[in-house]
Amino acid sequence: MAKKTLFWSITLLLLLIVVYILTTTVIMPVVTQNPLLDTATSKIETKVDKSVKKSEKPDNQVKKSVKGEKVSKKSEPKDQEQVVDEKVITGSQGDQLTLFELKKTENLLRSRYNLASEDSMYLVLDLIDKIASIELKGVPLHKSKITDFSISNSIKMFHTEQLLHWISQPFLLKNSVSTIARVPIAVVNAPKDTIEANSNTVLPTAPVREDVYLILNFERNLQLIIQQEEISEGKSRVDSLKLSYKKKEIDKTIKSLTTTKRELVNPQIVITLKKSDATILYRALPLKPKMVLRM
Amino acid sequence: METEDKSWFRKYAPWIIPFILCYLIFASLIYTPQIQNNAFLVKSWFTQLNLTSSSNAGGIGKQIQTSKSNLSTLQNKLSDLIPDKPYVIVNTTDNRFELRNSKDTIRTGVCSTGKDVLLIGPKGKKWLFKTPKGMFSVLLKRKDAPWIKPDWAYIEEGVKPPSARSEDRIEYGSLGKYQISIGDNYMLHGTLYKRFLGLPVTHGCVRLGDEDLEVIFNNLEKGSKVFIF
Repeated sequence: MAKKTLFWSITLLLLLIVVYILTTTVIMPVVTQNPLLDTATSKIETKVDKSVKKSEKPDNQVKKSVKGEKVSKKSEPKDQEQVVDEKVITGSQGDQLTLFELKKTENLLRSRYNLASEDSMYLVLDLIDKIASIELKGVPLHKSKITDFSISNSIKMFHTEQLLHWISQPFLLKNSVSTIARVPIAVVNAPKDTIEANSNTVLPTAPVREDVYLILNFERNLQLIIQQEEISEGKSRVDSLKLSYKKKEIDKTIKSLTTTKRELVNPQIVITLKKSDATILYRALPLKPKMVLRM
Repeated sequence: METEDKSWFRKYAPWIIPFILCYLIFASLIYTPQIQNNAFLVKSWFTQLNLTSSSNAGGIGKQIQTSKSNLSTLQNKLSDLIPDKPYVIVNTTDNRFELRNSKDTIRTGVCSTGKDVLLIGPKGKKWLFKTPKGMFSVLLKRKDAPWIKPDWAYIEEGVKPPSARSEDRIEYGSLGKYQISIGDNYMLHGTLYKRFLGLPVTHGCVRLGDEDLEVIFNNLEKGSKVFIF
């Protein structure tokens, strides 16, 4: 009898714990949150308002199309007012999907055009054509083929105008973790004399390409993971990075159990590139790059 | 014997349930993002796409037309951003260059870029040997220009630099036949060390092979763009 009571008490307690954990970390966030809307709407709407105000200026103030670095903010496309914040409405399913795809392409082009006015390099991630490219001033500098990619369900399920809103503005990088150094600077002390200088002389060799695994956290809650196509040999930095990141995630989950504040669900995109392309991409981009997304 | 086995099973089998629950606790802590992802999939089964609504084909047709015209406008505007004149793209990670005319590639090849070294001099003065990234314009094109050796060139060799205007600093032939200045003392130039082309060995300039340099020199004009990434 005592054993039975013990059994049922333990089982019930464990069951309650399971239910509590699943409710707090999975059910409540998934049911109550819209990961694309919670973080995106307010920011985008303010930006849209500004663009509408800009477009209210008379046409003669909207400068003619300029080339190269002389893209001014005044030259933002006149047609911006027509599209950015429009909802996908009415019509047959086929037409709606056509319009939806057109708008996604339009978003990409508009964002690229707007980013061309800035001095920084930016990343263009086209998941439809499977191309990741680095651009500067509207000039594509390097294009990488995306060999494989996956999009988390939290993005896929919002295949609607919410997605259009979410991707309508470039994403700004908040922070990143990687297995490679962005700028691998070696510090060298000047030799005291020519003898020391000659003894220090080393014939240059091609730099060793380390395994690449990048976790890029963008604003609007987007997480982009870039992994290499090549299989890493032995126990690599990639494994240790993944492990440390996993630990952080577990800590975050445990923290969320003890507080009432719910962590936001991270919409995640994982892309696979060649190791060399992933390295080029990470090293070419500035510390806080912007990214344009088409999916 | 059989009854003994059965009673053992009856006694301990129910304890599988708490074990499963323990496993679920650990799994839900470790695999939270994956479980959330699957939960979103389940949620999507119950969520209708917002694309469907009442019929107003005229409205949507107009929107498609507008969108198409916007697309062509934007594509034209983006095409206008590509430089008219030939331009060079330098990849500092792979140490390669590409000479383009509009969207066509005229020539590609190897080059050498900055070795990413921070040299600390005797009095704590620092020099960073790194190729800058971004968009640059050709400021000056020169032929057979000498190299005025800067202080770091001496300090790196363990030699005390001569006075700033000393003629000892002038060195002929080190920069190859052509030099293309892009500002801040950075140049695209030739090299005596052709075996190192393709490796990051320079002090920030971009070194090119003789033939490549000649083609680039002949194609670029003053004001032409040089993109380095």
